[in-house]
Amino acid sequence: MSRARAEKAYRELPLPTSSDEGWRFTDLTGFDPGAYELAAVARPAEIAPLFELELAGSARIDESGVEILAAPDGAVFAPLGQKDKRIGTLVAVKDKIGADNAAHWRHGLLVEVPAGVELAAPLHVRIESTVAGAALPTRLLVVAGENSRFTLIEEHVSAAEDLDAFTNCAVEVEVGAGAKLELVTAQRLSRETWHFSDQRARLGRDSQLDWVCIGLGSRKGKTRIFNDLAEAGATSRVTGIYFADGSQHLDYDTYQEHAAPHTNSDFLFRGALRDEATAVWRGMIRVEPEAQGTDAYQENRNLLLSRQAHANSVPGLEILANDVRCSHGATVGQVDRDQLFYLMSRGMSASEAERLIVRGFFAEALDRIDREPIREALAAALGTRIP
Amino acid sequence: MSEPESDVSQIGRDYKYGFHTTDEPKFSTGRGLTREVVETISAQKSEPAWMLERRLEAYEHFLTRPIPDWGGDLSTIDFDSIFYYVKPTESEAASWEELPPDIKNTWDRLGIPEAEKKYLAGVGAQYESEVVYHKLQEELVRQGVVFLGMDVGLRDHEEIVREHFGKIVPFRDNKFSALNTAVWSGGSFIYVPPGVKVEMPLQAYFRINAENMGQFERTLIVVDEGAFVHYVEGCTAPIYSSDSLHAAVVEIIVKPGGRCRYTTIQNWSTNVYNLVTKRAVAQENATIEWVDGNLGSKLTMKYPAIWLTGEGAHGEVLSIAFAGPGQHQDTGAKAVHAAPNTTSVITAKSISRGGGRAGYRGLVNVASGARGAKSKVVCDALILDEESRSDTYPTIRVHEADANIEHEATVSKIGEEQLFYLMSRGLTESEASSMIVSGFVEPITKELPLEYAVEMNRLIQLQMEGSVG
Repeated sequence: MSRARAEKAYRELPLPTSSDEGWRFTDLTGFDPGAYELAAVARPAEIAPLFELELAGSARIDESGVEILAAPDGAVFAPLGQKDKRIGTLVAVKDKIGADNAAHWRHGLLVEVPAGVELAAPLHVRIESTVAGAALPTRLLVVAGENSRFTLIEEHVSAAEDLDAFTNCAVEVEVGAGAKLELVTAQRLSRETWHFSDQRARLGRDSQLDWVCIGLGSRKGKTRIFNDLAEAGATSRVTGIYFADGSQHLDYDTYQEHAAPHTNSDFLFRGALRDEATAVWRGMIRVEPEAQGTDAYQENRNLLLSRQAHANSVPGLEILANDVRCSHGATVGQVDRDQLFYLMSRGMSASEAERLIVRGFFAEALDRIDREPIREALAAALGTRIP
Repeated sequence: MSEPESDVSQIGRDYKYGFHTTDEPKFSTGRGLTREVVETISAQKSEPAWMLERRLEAYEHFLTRPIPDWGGDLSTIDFDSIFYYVKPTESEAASWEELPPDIKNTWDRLGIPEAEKKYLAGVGAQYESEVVYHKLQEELVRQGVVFLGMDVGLRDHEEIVREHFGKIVPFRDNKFSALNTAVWSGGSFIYVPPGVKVEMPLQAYFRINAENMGQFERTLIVVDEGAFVHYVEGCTAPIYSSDSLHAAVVEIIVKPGGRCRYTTIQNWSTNVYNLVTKRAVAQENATIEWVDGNLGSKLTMKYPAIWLTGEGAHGEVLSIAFAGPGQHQDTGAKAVHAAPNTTSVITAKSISRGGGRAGYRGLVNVASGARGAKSKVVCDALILDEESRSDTYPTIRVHEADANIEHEATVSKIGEEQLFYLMSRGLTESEASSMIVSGFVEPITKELPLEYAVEMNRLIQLQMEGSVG
């Protein structure tokens, strides 16, 4: 979609309301995207890294532009050109938020790893929201060539704890035949940031995608994760870990599209909620008639740590082929009092016991993160959320 | 067993209830719906003024309410061609012999008088818009149990009806509850006094006979403290090339400590739109159970709901759906936990074959303050061939931390290992498949009254013969 058409759509479309499908439990009242302007000058600040890792490439994006801190050998790791024809081929404009990104994005990153290339160390891009009252619409285009292998870590951070901003990121991921891509998306924006993210991956023949999606920050918004298992033998695994407290509202909207035979997908989302926080998790497994031999799973488990927290879970299955194995599970529950009592009777404080139980709750999801520094940093970050 | 070349796998072709008679109705409002039709229905029934007012309000709401854009395809309903009210006989009969021969013959062929003798405590039989036969065992009448057609219920127990009518399912709930409230006719009115346990089921039987018929029965069940009743309804219709519409509303109140089980065996012919709103309120320590079998119809949209409003209330839904060629079963359940220590269990099984589409659509909602609420939902679906489809759309909303909510669902085909095992024991593939499917639905069929369980298994066998390979 051209910028002009996107701008027109942006102006004409209303903000989604709770009567729009997909937005039933996420009320955007009080949000005015027009109130956030693009800023030319950034106000970067020192932001502590979430984890220490040796990197093959590193970049940061803020309101003023893209800065490539280190580029990997043998791969493209560069600002995304405005005219790149691949832009918009995976993430389509679905609503005003999408139109905002298509019309207004200025800075993006292109990650293109050629066929057969393997990067031992991860690539890292940090998208930094630094200006109060500013919008930060960005894009990532990730192309994994045939049989390539690499890891990309995408972080969303704020320069200040109370920064009021609007971030809107579109991520398009093309996983070529036989490629193996690990993606880590870590969102730890300020509690005053409206955060929207529309992420779509298309998987080629016998490719593998392992995606970890972490949500710790932001005020309210929506994160979409769409996996298009487009060719035979593709496998995707998505692990979601989220923790919200105060009046935070997190919304994950996932889609497992099986469009080819013998494809596998496995989505597991775990979230803990404290105070008055709310979370929405929506998932759909769609198996097209030609996708015989599909094996698909989705799971969402929520742990409510206080009386006012609440969770909405909306799993879904649309199965149009018969030689399939598709299932889902969803649970909402609280801390097991017997466990808590047991731990406290062993001398633990209530906080320590709760922290341990929360760690246990997330264990299965954390165990799916192969890189130890990320896994440990995340476990520690979750632990600090329990006072 | 049938001959190998006869394709009994198509339930529509084996549908033994597809016959119709050509009896002349006593009165009909003709095709289409207007304000006058609503007034005429009310006048025919000599109703109190408040009911006419309610009907007219609902009619206005029906006109303004858009057709739902979710669930099944409702765009093909031709509201102008439907007969909204057809009165088959002058009055309700208390013996089958009083009925006109064609109508009596229909009930005989459906086996209702026979069943009444054997195992039912009371029977109501609705033909088109009116209840044509009604009877309750003397002993139950003596104990104060009321089992009447809804029209007679309104006449004889106006206070109870007025207290509850439209309180559980308001006409504003959805387009079809508005339509039902505007043109309702027939249905059952049941009142069970405190402590009375009705051991044998009460049965209502709904029959559509005419082409393009609209049947809009309205049922209200009040189970008083500590009482119990099991209500069973069955539905069939002739096969026509054009469509009929069935839009019922069922409201149930179970008072403290009471229990109500409501069993439906829906076997409409495949030209019937079945759009039904069913909701029950269970007060303190009361139990409501919906057993919902959906075998027939062109499109069914039905999600029996449980509102647990009293502490310790319990609700269960057992749902089974078969979708064969041309059928869409959009069925499910809702459980709303509005009081502490309430529990619900929803078990749904669906089978789709021959291009059919079966689904589960559900809601579990735990309100803030419903401490100790527990809910478990299990949905399983079998897809028997490449043309068929299965959907699962649950929604879980939890506003109370002290609650435990679980949902799981699985969609699969018949297991090859199971099939192989049974065939190695000498069963044919279709026998083996039938047996596996019977086993799959067994948790539900075992809850049905025996006669229905037998019928259900027979239907499964018919559905399955020659259908897999």
